[in-house]
Amino acid sequence: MAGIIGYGVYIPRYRLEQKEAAMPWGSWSPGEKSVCGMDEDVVTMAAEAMDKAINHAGIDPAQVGAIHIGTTSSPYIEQYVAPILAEILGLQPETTMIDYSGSLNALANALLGCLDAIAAKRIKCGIVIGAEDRATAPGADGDATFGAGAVAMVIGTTGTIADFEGLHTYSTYFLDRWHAVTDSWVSNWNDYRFDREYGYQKHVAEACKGLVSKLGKTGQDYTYAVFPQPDDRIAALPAKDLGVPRESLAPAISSTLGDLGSCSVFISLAGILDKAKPGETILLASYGSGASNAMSLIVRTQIGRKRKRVVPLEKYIARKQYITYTSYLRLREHLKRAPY
Amino acid sequence: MRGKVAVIGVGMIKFGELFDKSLETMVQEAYLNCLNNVDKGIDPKEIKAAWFGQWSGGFIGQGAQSGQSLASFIGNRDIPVTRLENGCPTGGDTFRHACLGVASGLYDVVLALGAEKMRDKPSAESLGGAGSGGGAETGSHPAWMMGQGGPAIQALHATRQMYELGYTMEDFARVAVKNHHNGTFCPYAHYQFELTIERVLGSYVVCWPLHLFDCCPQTDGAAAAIVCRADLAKKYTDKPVYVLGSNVGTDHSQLWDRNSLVEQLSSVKAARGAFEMAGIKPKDVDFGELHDCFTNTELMNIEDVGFARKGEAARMLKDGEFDMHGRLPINPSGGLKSHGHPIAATGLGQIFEVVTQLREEADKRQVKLKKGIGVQHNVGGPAFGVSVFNILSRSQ
Repeated sequence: MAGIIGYGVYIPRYRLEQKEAAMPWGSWSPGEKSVCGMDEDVVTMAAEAMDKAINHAGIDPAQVGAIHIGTTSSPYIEQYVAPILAEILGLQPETTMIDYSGSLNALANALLGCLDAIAAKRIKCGIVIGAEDRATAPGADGDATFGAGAVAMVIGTTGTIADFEGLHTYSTYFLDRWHAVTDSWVSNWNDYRFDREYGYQKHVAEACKGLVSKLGKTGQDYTYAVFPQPDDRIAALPAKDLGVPRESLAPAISSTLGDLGSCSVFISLAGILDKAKPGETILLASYGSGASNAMSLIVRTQIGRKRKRVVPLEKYIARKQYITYTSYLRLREHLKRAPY
Repeated sequence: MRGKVAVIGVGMIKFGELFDKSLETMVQEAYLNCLNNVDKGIDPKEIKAAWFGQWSGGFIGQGAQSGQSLASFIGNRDIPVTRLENGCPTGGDTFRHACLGVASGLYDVVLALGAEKMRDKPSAESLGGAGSGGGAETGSHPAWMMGQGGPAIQALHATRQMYELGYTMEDFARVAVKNHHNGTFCPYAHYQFELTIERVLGSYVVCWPLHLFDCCPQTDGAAAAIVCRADLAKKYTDKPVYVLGSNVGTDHSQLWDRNSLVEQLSSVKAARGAFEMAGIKPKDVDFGELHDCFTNTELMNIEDVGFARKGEAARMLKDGEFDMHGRLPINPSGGLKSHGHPIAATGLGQIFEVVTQLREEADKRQVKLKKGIGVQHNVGGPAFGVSVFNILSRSQ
């Protein structure tokens, strides 16, 4: 099966303390979140991550046969972002260009689409890019927690640093959070335990159970386990169901970068790959709207040789500048200056 | 009404977060369980009227159910069916109205059934809806709009119990420990795990001094009972349970009108009237299912209905008198603390427990019967100003 040839991440410089955004609305939230600057958005962040990934992979962009975007924060409901990024890379019009959206599972589905195209021998190599800066409004849940960031992965069969050993999907009809066309923010039921137990925990655990049993493994066999982090603690729930030891779990990033939506698990993965050694194994699962894709990865020797070209996640986490909630509201155009 | 009405069958479903069951499914399961519980068998056509306890429909925006809902759910549209809502005592009062239907001489066999979908709305909205019972959404009084729901009201009671009666948070926690222990023996309970005082006091504070484990959970459920003329009971069962007394007590509907916060006069009145009707005293009772929506409420109820003098319930609880094998077992089923509180199903679930105990079919949680008398009690509504008390006995 195919694997990751190179990857890259991008996190904006600005940070907002989550309590700053929560307290005016009678709420509280720990940690910080990353915020897009005035000249940044989903497209610029995606372009940055893509650039890093191509550089890390060390491939000629002309080899890229497909460009898949996964995001729930596209500026458009109709109109793809993928062609903009293809234009930046100078890809041929014959390249497959698709945006995946509509669920926090979007980026994982974009990756599956790319793996399918490679398995079908339709393309040799593809690039999968995720970027999030999710819709929120003052006082909405995400106002305090939604972070901004992007991740890109070059997928192919030669020169891989980590290979996919197996995939498994678990999907049901389940509504926990949604972004209605008529709303400018993401909503949820305000029933945290319901979302957590019947949504995230159940689907992630089931997808992973299906995967490990298919591969004849158990949760304990993996060096690392990477699950999405809408908050810092939630990943421990499916980990417990799967018998994954706590120390195998990817480090918490949601209290430093916020909830990174569909990118969360892949940005975590980048952090793991920054340090992983050949032969180590990674259990990964996405989650969004009642669907989870579990993936099993094994790290290859190439990882060491390419490491010097990586811009590590840690660097982006450390690079930060705090802004006030008022500045944040201005940046998001929730506060508007009088015209005259 | 004393001795004129007998319970011939009871049925309920396992309470819990039943996201895979609709109101209709829950009603049908409880109804079938109830029919099957009539040991000599019953033709559903023999049921000549029904009362449908339903609280949540109107309050948490699921559409107000009428009698026709029950009629169509159970496939019996040729009988009168009335929907009844009376705050948290809805279940107990639905049972009482079924008994009144028989006692009036109008019907021989009737059905009382209560069911609620409490968890189909997010917990915050559901609790807000509970507040709307007092007028939060209609704006009838600012106090309700500010969140004066169950936990806030009972926290006011609890602090007053601590101040006037010297009760402590440990005393309240002890109720949770006892009821959760009992609940581990009940297959119908939502929660079936043991608690310790430390774990109760270490849980989140919902509304001081009440912790998470001082409060009963939001739960879906359904429960039913079939009652008939006492003289016909033996036709349906070898073990009829007779209704000795039944009463509803009412009090002010606003908290600030009440004279005391360590006593709920509605419970006092309900119990007094029911004991009078039954012609017995509280000391004649073997066990009770009392409304433990919050731990402090159980202590208050024990005193209000006459099982202890005011201020003594906490000590008696500590001495083990209310344990499953104590002098007077309270909530041998595990109570609302472990079953949850699907409003209209709650009271009928308690009736299920009382009848099961009186028939000595309660298995591991069977209490010792002396006179063969058990009681069921609910209290609730705005400012806990309405209460129901039913006294059941295995002998007429």
